Amino acid sequence: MEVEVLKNLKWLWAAFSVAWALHIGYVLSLSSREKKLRGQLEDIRSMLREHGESRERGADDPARREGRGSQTSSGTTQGAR
Amino acid sequence: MRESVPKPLAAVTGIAVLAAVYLIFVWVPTEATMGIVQRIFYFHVASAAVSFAGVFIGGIAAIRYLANRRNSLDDLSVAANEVALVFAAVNLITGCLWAKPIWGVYWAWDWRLTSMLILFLIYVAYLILRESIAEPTQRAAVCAVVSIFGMVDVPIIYMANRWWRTQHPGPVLGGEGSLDPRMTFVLFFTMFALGMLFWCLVRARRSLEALRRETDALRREAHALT
Repeated sequence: MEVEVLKNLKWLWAAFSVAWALHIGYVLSLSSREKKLRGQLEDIRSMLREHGESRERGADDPARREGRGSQTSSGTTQGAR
Repeated sequence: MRESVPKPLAAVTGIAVLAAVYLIFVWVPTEATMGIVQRIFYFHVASAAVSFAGVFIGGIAAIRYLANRRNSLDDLSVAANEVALVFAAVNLITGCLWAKPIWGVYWAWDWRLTSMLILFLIYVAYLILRESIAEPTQRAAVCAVVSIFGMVDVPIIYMANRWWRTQHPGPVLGGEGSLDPRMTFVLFFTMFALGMLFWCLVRARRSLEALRRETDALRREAHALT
């Protein structure tokens, strides 16, 4: 009788362990996915920030403005040719 | 994830789950015929009930998404469906581990088991499909249709052992079978505890989906600028 109980206890233990392993595994996967997404979000945000700053610098820099102007005139000349 | 699950909800869920474990392993009487292995029944049946509820929540959110096109409904739909899939997996595996000592085999291709396996596979396909469509509106619309299709399988699973001869035991609640009142109480309490766990997981998954949507939108913006 005791042997029978112990034999069946193995199945109960296995079922219980698998059930909780699946739940814990899922929580861990949610956590790692969140961490990955937050990392990606931060990268994109910093990239956009850098892009915005470089555009602002470009707009403020008179030498670059002039350079852009000469490029445009040469482009126009090329177009006229 | 911590922000999406409020501490009181997490605390109540933790206490409920621990209480359910105590009731299953210590408090409830052992069934006379199957012995100790019958205790698998409590989380096997409760997982099925929670997965069915999840599929319905996901399906109804999908119907509402198709009507309103609100992103929050798509987030809820994917969250409920994904968590329901986890509970369906628990149901299938615990069922196999109960069947081996009782039937002598892990699996029988009867209507109940097969229809549950089909439900599981529909939602695996749903998640694969979700990852394979890049355009967000198209992804949400196609997945909403699959979600509604998956919901139709639930009544078939539930009625399978009433409509057809199956190896699976007959219904113990609302059927011919009778259950000791203490066993009924433990079953309902486990459903409540797993239901709370389900809701915590759905909240966490839903906030993850919102984060993913935000990341995708910013990525598109960055792509357009560079």
